[in-house]
Amino acid sequence: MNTLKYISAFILLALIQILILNQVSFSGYLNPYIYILFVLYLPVNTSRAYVLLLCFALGLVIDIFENSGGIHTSSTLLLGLVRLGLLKSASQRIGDDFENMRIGELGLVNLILYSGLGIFIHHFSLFMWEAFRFSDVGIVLLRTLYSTAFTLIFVLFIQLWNFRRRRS
Amino acid sequence: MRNLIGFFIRSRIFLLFLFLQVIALILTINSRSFQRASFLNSSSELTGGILESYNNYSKYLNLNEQNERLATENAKLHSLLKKSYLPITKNTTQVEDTLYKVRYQYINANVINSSFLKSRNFITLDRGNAQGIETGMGVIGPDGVVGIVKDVSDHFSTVIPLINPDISISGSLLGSNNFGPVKWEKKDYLHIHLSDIPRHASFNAGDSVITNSKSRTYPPGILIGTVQSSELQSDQNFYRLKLKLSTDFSALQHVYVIKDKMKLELQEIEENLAQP
Repeated sequence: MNTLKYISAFILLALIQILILNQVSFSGYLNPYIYILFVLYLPVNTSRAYVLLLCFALGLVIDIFENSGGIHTSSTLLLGLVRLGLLKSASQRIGDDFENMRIGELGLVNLILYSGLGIFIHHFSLFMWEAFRFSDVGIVLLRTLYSTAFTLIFVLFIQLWNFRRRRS
Repeated sequence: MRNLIGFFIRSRIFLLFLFLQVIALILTINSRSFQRASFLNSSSELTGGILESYNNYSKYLNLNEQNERLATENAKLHSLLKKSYLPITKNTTQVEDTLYKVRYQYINANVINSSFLKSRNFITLDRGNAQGIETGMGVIGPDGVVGIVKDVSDHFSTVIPLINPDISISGSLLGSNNFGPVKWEKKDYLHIHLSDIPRHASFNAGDSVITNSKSRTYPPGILIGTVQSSELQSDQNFYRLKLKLSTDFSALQHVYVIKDKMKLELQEIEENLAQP
């Protein structure tokens, strides 16, 4: 049941990204990539190897549709690697308490901190790969900041909707 | 030995990460080189199929504007037709034309996916091998040059547009015939730069820049853009011109792929030059 839920989330997010967000242009600096929501909200106790393989698959799907080689794959993998560390420092829990935590229990401030940092790392890596040289680092940082804010709003919106649904 | 195995077991997650990261890196580098065909791209049958069926719905949204463009182009072509010319003298006779041979053939295609805000942009077309499209063919739109075909599958193909730093084409100023490389500098999708125009060349803002006969991919005389401003290069001997692109890459729907029927012939005769 749970597996099915995650498979459909995977496909749904990839489709939203490919068919809607990649086609709509907001401005040169805004490129939201909400598909990483999938990686951010995987359960805490998912095996780390699974997380990496899922990141690889998700990034590859986006890359194939965007003709971007492997830059999404690489950035999503990076996010998959640092995810647990970010979660640990955002929740300040350890041991079994941490293992059994659900991401919804983080609280709003910690949630913003965790998602924001994760999204920033992913976007910065992504835009850096796209520019492919260090001299453009100013533009890359600007794009990263704008797009991170945009993606974060998306992510919080969806999370809020989830909270509502769970409560009612 | 035991230590080594222990090390591998302890850091297996990180090793898995490294392994997958290396694959991603290889894919990235592969996609950057124009010569090597990347095998994962949006011209494959599955991904192309999804994008095409999506495009079937979304293209209705800007149908009006596209119709307008096609109508304008039709009108332009009609005015070039023989029947729209009036014979001036009565002494001319009709002859079967054996002096001209068709060199360029146009294959029309629809854009089913495109990007224009990235620092590396791509276009996917709904025509492929089956319609006679090959890697390296030129692509033009109703308003001017669009790009060059990169990968081709049976029914789809990807195009590197002018707004991608991976390609540069030769362009010359209409009138003076001074030519130089036209290259995009990752700035925005409206402008492109023509460099290496000698100092003695004369030009004004608004002059047209067109493809020239040195190009292997385009027929001569196709519009690339119009001159907007100019500056001296750092060597002080050449101008670098900023051009306004004639093609609007944010609203591209119908394009033509150009097949040069004499390309092989040209290649053969030039290969002979290399081996006396």
